[in-house]
Amino acid sequence: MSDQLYPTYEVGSLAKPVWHVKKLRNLPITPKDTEELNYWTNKLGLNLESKLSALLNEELTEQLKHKIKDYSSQFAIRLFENVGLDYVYNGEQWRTEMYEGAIRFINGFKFYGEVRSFDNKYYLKAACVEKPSLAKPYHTEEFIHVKGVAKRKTKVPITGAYTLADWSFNEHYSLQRANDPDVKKARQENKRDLTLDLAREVLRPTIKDLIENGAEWIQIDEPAATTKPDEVDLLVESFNESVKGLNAKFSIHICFSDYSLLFPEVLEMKQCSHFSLEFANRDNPRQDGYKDLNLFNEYNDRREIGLGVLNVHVDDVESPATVKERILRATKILGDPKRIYPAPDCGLRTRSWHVVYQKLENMVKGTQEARKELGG
Amino acid sequence: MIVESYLTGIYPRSDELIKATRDFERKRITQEDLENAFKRDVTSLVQLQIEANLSYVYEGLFKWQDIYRPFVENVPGLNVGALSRHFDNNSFYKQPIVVNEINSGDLSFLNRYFYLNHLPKDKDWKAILPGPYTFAQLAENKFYKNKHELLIAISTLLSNAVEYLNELGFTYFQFSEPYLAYSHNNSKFSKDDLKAAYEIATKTPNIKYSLQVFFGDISSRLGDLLDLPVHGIGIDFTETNVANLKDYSFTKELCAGIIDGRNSLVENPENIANLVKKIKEVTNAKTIYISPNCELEFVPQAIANQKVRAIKKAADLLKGE
Repeated sequence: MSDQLYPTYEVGSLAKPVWHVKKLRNLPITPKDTEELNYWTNKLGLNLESKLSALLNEELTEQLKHKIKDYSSQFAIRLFENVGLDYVYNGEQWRTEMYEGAIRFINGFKFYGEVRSFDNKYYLKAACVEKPSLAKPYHTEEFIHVKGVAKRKTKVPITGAYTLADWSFNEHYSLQRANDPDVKKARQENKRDLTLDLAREVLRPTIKDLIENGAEWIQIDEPAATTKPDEVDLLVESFNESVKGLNAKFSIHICFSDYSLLFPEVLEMKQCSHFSLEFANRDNPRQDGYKDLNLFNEYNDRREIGLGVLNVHVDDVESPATVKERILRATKILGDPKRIYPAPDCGLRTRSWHVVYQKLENMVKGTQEARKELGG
Repeated sequence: MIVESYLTGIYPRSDELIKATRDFERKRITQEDLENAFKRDVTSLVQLQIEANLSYVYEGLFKWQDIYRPFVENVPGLNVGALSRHFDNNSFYKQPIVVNEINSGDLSFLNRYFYLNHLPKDKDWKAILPGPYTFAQLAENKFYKNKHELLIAISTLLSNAVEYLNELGFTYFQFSEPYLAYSHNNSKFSKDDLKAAYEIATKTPNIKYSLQVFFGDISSRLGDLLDLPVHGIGIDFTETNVANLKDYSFTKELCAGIIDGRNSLVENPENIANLVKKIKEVTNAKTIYISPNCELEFVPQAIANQKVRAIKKAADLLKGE
């Protein structure tokens, strides 16, 4: 637990600045983009305009791509620090996307093409064609960079084994049981083998390397956690295998899910001390979005809660009063303010930096007001 | 044994069409350019189905953002709701919101979705529609007194859609009903409601109907489906063990969902053929359709195309059986 009551953090991703995206795609930087860049360098007190403007005029090379990502990362860290968060990371500015970015570092996967998520939105989906193994621990360099820039404590997000397995095609293991007449059982066992191999062969060494390089808090992101309700036990087993024998603070982030499906299985996630969950999205005048916190009481689960108090899907900025009220409501349900960490519902990458800044700033203000209310 | 074949849901878009939809959203191409990209995909898929000698041909539902959307966006009384997970998939649909009486007086919007001019005149056409039960279960009801009234209203809408599409030339209608078998519902559906829905939805005479059930094992309640006024029942054999069907006397056509729409692994034609023979042996169904269990849009188009070719090879192996 942190020294201060209600420590704040962000969950993960932040949109990439236009100059970052355009330069990496080798598109021309417009005066409007430069204006935006200047605005944020001033706002964040980075004093980097001339250096960055010069870089953006250089010919695109692999080295320049790295530099662009580094600068973008600095901007994100400063944004989080300027608004006053207690734990920060770099808004995943080094990463392409939470699934593809990880899979690219894992041997045994092959990308076949894009599949639809919804409407005209697609994602690249890979198939596991051989037993997975780690090509290289894929977040360590990023973490070392963040550690060198950040003035606050850090929390490293990493996509969990269950989600990587659930979002992939499973060819390798399916072939092994191709003739099993019990098709459902075979499918479940195929999924289990893939997920646990990812946990042992990929997640565990990646997390181990992060810890050996100084990471103290690892957040395992599992957006797919409850997609298949009868596989929550596998989610739990994969979490346990991912952190087995390792020593750090471990949390899990789950969002837009039916949390009742997690219990009682998650009680067996003994090394997980913190649940980061989305709540603000489901909180409205017709419905108490925080009522699912009662599940933790019901199961006598006293672990920390990363309390989603910002809806990441809307531009409307929550007022400090709203944030404060949500924190105090959750405190009343859980009974122990020391367990609560105010946070956005999820990564903020779908919102503009202007909106993100205001939302997080108000989150910090609302948190301060909640602390005062409790005399903290 | 009569072996037939067809496809069962939204077909994946080609890389070119995916790019065109993005380019259109970014205002890089015109509406006409986008429409031409859709037509190219329809043309390719029709050609593929002809080459694969499928029994019925469809246009791929390329324009359908999800199986409910053409209705939700165009039928008075229905509104587009929030993005919601479609069963246990990493894909999402927009929830239908029923805000007023569902009015199916004008269904001419359907013409925009079916690319009639691209369908071959010398082949039978198949239309794939959402099943009334699943549609009603997934909708948020803000108008009708209860779910039953809503189900009847949606069944009437779909019945009118069948009549409309039949006049345009479609002769085979599949209703997609994943809700009935989805394992996390434990097949909790009302037999009486289902029967009432299908008596309405299938009122247009002299055409064929099938009920496609997927994303779960329907074997424990298959008996309740065999009474419905449809010609064929589609079973998801990626979820259902063939042996579980041994107690049923299968008097309807059996649409065997053998091709796994959710895995990139392309089925071996010999394995498909062997499974069809086993299904025949256990169910004694006279007509068996080789088909995907669900829509193929969960795999990239290049994989889907290989799966369609595997259907043809399997059907060829079964000739004379």
